[in-house]
Amino acid sequence: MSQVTCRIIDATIEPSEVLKMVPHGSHGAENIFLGYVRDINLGKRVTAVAYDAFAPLAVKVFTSICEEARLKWGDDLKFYIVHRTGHLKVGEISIAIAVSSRHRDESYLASRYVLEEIKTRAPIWKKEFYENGETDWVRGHALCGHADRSAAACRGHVHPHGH
Amino acid sequence: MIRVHVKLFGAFRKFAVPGVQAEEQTQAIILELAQPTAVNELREHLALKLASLGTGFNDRGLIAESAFADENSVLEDQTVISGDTVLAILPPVCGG
Repeated sequence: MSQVTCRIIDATIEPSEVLKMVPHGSHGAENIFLGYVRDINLGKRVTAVAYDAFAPLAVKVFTSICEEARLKWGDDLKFYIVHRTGHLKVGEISIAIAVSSRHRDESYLASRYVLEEIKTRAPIWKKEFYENGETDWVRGHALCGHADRSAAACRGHVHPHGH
Repeated sequence: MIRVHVKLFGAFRKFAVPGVQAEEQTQAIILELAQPTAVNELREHLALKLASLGTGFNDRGLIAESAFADENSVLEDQTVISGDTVLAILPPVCGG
């Protein structure tokens, strides 16, 4: 397995599959993050969500983020990331991020970095279905076309087109 | 004439015209440009095209917050589209 594996899938994410993907002998730590569909968002009761993705670019963005993390916390870090698309019920897993490293600190830090960057940079969208029958695309983070696309670089500045 | 297929994702999908697809399960619209056009100017072309389809589009704020991209990267506003191509319009993202 390569150092970085990223996937977008329209099928259930199995935690047992994620567990098999990362560790090897020289790594003493593995951090696995699982994100689930939550039943309430901004005070509205959510019954399900649907994820849409521009998959070819999303995989490239995931990979770039992992490479950034390897520059920060060590080039021997290994990553496995999988994100769902399609219709998910409350309680289903929407994303899994597995990171392994020689020592635990690097895995914790890299996992958090990857998740936060995915939320603001990956071309993925979420439509929520509410208990009252309404639906809404969650209006998240505007993308920008700078050479440095990290969330920190893009946060808080002004563009001619408004984000 | 420069023809730009624009794939629609997320909140844009509902404004597509049935039957116009870039590939399976991906709706697209076609912009026809008379001359090379910067990405920033494509937003106005896209807004006019979507409004002309009769599918209920009236959210220019959404376009202002959206980015154009190809399969490799988000395009910078100054990038000039000078030939036929396939792009995607990416509304604000919400993965994870």
